[in-house]
Amino acid sequence: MIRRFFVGLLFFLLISCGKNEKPIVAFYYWKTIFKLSPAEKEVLRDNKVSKLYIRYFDIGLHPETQDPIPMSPIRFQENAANFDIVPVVFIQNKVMSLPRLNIDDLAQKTIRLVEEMNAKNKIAVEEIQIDCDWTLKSKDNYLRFIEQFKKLSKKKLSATIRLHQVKYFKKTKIPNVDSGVLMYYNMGTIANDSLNSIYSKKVAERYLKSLKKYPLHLDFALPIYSWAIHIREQKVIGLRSKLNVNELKKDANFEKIGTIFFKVKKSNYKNGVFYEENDLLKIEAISSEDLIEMGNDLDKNLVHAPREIIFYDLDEFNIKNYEKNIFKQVISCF
Amino acid sequence: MKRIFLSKLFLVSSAALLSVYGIIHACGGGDDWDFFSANSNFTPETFADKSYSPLFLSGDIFYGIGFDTQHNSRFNEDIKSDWSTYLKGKADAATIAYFLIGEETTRYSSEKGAPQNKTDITQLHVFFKNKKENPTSLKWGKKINLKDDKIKSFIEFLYLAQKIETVSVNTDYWSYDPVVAKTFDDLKMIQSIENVYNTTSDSFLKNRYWFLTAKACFYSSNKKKTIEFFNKTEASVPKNVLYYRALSYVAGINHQQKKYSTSNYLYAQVFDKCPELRIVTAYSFRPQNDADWNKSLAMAKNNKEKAALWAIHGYYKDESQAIGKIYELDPKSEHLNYLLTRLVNGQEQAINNSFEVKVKSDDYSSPVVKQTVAENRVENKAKINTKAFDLVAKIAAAGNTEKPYLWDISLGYLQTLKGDYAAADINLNKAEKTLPKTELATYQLRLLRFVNNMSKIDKLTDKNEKTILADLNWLYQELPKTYKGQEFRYQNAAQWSKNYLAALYRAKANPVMVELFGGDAHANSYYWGGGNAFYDNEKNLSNMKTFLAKSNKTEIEKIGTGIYYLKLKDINNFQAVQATFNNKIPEAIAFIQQADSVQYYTFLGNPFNGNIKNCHDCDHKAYQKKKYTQLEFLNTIKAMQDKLAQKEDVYTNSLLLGNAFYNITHFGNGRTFYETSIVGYGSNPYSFRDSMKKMITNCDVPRMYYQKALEAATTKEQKAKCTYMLSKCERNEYYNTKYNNLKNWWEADDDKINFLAWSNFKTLKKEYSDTKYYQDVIAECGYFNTYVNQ
Repeated sequence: MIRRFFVGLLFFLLISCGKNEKPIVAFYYWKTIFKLSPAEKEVLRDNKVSKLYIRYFDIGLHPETQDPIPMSPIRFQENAANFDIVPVVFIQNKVMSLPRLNIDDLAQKTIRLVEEMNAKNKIAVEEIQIDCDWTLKSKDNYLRFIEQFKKLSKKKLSATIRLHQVKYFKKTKIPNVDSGVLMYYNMGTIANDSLNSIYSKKVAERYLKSLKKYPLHLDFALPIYSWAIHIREQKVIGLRSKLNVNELKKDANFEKIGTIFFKVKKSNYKNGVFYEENDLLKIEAISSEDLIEMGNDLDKNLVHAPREIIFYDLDEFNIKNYEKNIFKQVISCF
Repeated sequence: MKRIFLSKLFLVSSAALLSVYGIIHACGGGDDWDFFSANSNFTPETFADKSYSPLFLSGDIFYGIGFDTQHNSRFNEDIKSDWSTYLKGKADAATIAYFLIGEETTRYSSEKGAPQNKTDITQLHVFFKNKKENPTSLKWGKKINLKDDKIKSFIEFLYLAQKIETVSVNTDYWSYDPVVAKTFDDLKMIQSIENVYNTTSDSFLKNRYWFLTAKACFYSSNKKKTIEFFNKTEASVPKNVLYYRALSYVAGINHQQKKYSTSNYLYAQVFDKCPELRIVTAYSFRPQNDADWNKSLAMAKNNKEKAALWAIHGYYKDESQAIGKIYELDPKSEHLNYLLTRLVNGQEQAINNSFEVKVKSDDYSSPVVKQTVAENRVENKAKINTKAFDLVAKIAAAGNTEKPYLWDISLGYLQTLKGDYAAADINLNKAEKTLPKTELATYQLRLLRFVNNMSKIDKLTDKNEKTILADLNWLYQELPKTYKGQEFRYQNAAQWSKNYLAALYRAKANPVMVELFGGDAHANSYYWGGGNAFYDNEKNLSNMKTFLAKSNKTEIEKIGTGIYYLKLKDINNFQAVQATFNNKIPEAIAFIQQADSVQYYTFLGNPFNGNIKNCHDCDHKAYQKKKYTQLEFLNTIKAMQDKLAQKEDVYTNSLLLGNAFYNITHFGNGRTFYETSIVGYGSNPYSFRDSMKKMITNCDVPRMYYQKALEAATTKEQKAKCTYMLSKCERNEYYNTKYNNLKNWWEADDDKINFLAWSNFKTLKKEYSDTKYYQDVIAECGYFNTYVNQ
């Protein structure tokens, strides 16, 4: 009883802090095995991170039967109970685009699997997040799935929201969730051009104004990942994540041309990938300045302050690209 | 045994791969990646063994299947046939299949519990152990002799094998194991399996138990033991499929231990010797860097082993290099076949078959300009990789490969693409001499000869036209009807030849023939129902009509007419629609009568009704005493216009005419009247090209008739009705200016104005508020109601 009182008091205090309350730092964890490196632990500790959004599994289609099936569920090799865990289920849009999708069945199976994973890993959760880049074609299925999921899971439900879904929400509709997370990345096509597909202020500006009109509470997800786009004969043939630019600079098989491109001078294997002579690697990354810019731009266009800033994604490789206090700097924009 | 969990086996044998896919699935968010399109004239299935087909060039991970789909079923046929031979005369094929594979039930049912065949095996095992009959033994005892040694060995083997399957196979997709890979840790059981291997004298069983021991070790937590066991025993083991399966376990463990060069070397040997595992080994082969790769090469004990490494390496691109190396090491290597198909298919990808170039090459939405045949030839010629070409030429000339004809036919085709048509003829002829007489090979040769012959044409003449006629008919008419297979790639040549002919006729300034062979048929390619803008030009239209009507067509004209998607009736129909919208009804009647069955198409709703709401679904559902055909519709209009000219019943006739012309617009209940292949289709005006959008949204004609009706109206009710109808036209006009004149709906100004107080609204309120019709409008029309209540 007393404890509840204190919790209530704390809550009251939090609320009464009102506008000055800064959002908390949270992270997405998107790897298939949950095991934190010392550097990752340090970041979590330094930023007092208590909340992790962990990708539990994807839902895709079985290549032969076209039935929805879970893919690469995460395995825990480390105790996650110290954190508030929000399981995230990534649903491929093609699943939601199936014309005869059994929505009840899928919602039930998804909840059952999340619960099974929670039970087997001794994780208690209060919220579940669904991640799906739904389109006009898959809208109806997706919205019904969310309704059904919410009804059955009896948990707080959040969903990721893409920029276009904010701007055109009258067309794309708003899923019936408790809150949304605006993915402030994936702003272009993964293409053989000189633009950054992760973030572009120009592209973002086209959407920012719509934020004020969006009726659902939004927290923000900001990118800290980088990758290289592997291009052969003007065609994108793959994404190479966790590619160390400094290492590329030192590698005689690669030549830096321009600010973001590397050219393969001699065919070679690197990290298990074959690079053919004349292939191009286009590096896409997010600088500290970009992150601050995002924070400021978002703050200028807000109605309600976000409660959380979630960085995508928690990985030693990503963190090493930034100064230690970057997360605090971003939070202070709000 | 058939149930599978996709990631499971990958994780055990090749952990590295998951992360590769993880990126594309999890982070990329892009669901569908595929740059490979079917712009190919070269069917790899003609030349390479089936076991290579997933490795043919593709934008997917694996050609035709995307991902490997056979993790747990790959050896089903093998084991069925092995055991059937062993148990000949003792059990029938169905029984053996039942015990091995189980019943053919739906694979992904989430029902829990062991499949029946596994329960049966366990029960029979219990029976053998206790020597006490149970229901299962009684049941099966009637079908097979359970006392027979071989039957007993079969069941006991399966009993042990299925124990391992509890960790090697997941039975339910929608279940979760908290560990990455379950291990089989009943060491006593593994020992007892090995004991059977050591003691049995039956060579068939000995071989199976040898494999089962290796498998059990592989799934145990003591993976090293697999390698020890394998090394100790391999010399005495026959080099069959089981041997290579075990060898791939060894390769997998080496990968897990980060001994990549050994792992890749072993995978290459399995790739070489075990066709069933080609897809798995190609997938698992992952040199981490050049040092790994060179070490693997150094491990090869002879030329064949080295060639195997290059063969698998070639799957990860740079086929030319791989071909060159393998050819030096072992010119008769079978691997060369699949690599050469990849090389040729790769060259094809660069070819421009469309005879169009983008104005700005790096802009997806860039407009395109047409190429001439000469321009297209220059562009394509430059794209052929000389190094690859020279290599193929060299090997073809030597003629010492397993399939010399494959090199000749490939060289011939590459020469075509390069513009050396005479040399291509020579090599295609050379290939013909030793080409197998299969349907696919015969078709392939004919197709490449056609491509070569067609490519020779700079300018269409009576003479060179003759060289392609038979093949055009074959491509357009015969193959679609007679070819029942899936593999043969002829569609690209069919489309390419149309584009080619269109380019030739464009050079001859013959728009009719250009149109027949594809031209710009779909002016608004963004939408599937964009219609055909060719007919917006009156001269084109009349020329096409004359052409289609003439009886003395040449052969090529007949071919063009045969593939053209429009017939004379479609053009007449289009003219009827245009004439109607222009209020030239006698003309429209004449055209619709020449539009075959179209004149008898009926309207879905009554086209003479004018309701308060624009609700075509309601009008379609409403009871209709008379269903109007298009011809009757036009005739009725004609009759009303005649009466109107005689000043007969002016109010009624004008009102009905207004309704009729209103209903055939986008806003009315009779859209099917204009929805044709030339005008276009769509529930949204943006689906239509500008000229048609304007035609179908314009309400000037109905407005003119409603105005006439208003002037002739005698009662207040009548006047109220006409005023309201006029306000509908006014509102449509507003929509037309605000939305329909734009290119896309999202360009529209979001000013939240859904309606205005149109002048006829005002009149209706001011002058006719005491009519019944006014009350009806208030009840049905929300806009008006809102206006009134402002």
